[in-house]
Amino acid sequence: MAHDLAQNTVDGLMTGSAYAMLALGFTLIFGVMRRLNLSYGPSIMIGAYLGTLVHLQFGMGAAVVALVTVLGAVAAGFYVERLCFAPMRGQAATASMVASFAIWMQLEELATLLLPRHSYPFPALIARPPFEIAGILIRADRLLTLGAAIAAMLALWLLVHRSRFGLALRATARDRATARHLGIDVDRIGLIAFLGASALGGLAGMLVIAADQQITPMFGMWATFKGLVAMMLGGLGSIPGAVIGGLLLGVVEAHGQWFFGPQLRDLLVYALLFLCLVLRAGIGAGVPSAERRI
Amino acid sequence: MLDCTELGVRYDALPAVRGVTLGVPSARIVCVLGPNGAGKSSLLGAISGQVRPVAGSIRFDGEAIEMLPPHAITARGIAHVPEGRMLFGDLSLRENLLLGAHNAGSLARAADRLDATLDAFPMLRSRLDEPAGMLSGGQAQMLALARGLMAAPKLILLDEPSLGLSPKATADVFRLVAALPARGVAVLLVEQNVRRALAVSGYAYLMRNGLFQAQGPAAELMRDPMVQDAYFGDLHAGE
Repeated sequence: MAHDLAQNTVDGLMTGSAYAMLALGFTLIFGVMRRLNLSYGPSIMIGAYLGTLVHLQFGMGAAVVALVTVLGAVAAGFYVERLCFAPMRGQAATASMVASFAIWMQLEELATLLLPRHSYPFPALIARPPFEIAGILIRADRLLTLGAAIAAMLALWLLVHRSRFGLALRATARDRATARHLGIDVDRIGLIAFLGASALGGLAGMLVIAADQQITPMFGMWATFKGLVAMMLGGLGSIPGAVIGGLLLGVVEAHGQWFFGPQLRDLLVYALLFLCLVLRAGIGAGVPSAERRI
Repeated sequence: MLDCTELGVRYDALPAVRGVTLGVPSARIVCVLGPNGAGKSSLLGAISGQVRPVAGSIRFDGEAIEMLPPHAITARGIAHVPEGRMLFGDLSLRENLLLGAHNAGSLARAADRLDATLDAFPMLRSRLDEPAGMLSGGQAQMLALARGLMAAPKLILLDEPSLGLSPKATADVFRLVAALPARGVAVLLVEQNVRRALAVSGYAYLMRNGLFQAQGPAAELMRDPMVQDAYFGDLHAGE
């Protein structure tokens, strides 16, 4: 029992680190623009489809496929930003969200036109059997995900808190009008944040898909869903919150799956999310959501 | 250095500035006086690129800037300290100041400017790591001024810097403003405190309903009986 708990927790942290990266990308966009990008996951899926295409057509190995996936996600993110976010700055946030939903559908169609079968192979980054530390089974590629997540979080933290860009980003997140007054090109800041979020998402998605070794059009919805839930668990719009939310989601899922099975696992996640939202409304009533800033 | 010609600004159908012509020579203080809603803030907003004028031209150092975005205007040496100070309350004084020097291009150069700027603001230096939200009204206005100067401007636009301040803080602010030309900074000052503003300015424009009603050297306007009646009477602008 204790061993199961430990194994589940380790598994959950590894999966959760991918969720945390997805949530960080979401947070970067939401934190700066106060807008939800529902096309976030589908953009990553497009990147992964391009990676698979390169793999199938040209027989490229894992490293090239990984790079194509991340760059493809950034390109798709650029498309989404230009179409759904750039034209609607300063207007209703709902308009951007609805537009990003439409683009979601479009990207899914594009993926199935590109590669019509339901699932395609995706090359593994590390193909070796799991190893054991103190009785806990560890997969090398999951460990790589954890390492990449930690590196990405540190890099993002340094960027946000120790660079000129990060300072401008935080100013823009707090008050676009004032940032403009200070001579900050807020539109450019928003675009760069958006592309950075897409790159982060592309990296997370690539690691998850490489571990699964297959890609389906459902991945877009999966990534949007996991990223969104992790971000909400951590309390919209803060970097540490996104990390904690992602890890929490991973661990709860791992235990839920082991002890209750896959159906109840998702129910457990929804219950946790509900609890978080209700408690936040209760405890955090004095703290307006606008105060939780990147 | 700054020349606005027949400048017009409107919000939707509502005209805010209706064709004004104004000039600010380098290293001089020029003020625009007038009641609330006269169009003073809109005028400053057009100069710094926050709102795009519907008519007229704005030239800075000979270059037309009325179509430039705000960051390009800041890069050319115009800083805008908006009404109500607009500080980032949960960021530290240091971060607020460094943000003012965004046009420096790097954090290292911004930090150099920080050191030089703080010489004129000793009371800010000891509190650099405190959040800006902790400051009193007078201190906050000082921080807003310092943040504007961090852009190393040739021209600084000041919108109601004495609004809501105590007499002592008001005097401090005007003392600092009066010292700016000596540092090579020109000032376009918008104020409701008519006496104080005229006392530090070389030239003044009186604005009402989007138009300049009178203009002239500040010392002459101060003595003008018409100005006395129209602008000193209803503005509660005494000490």
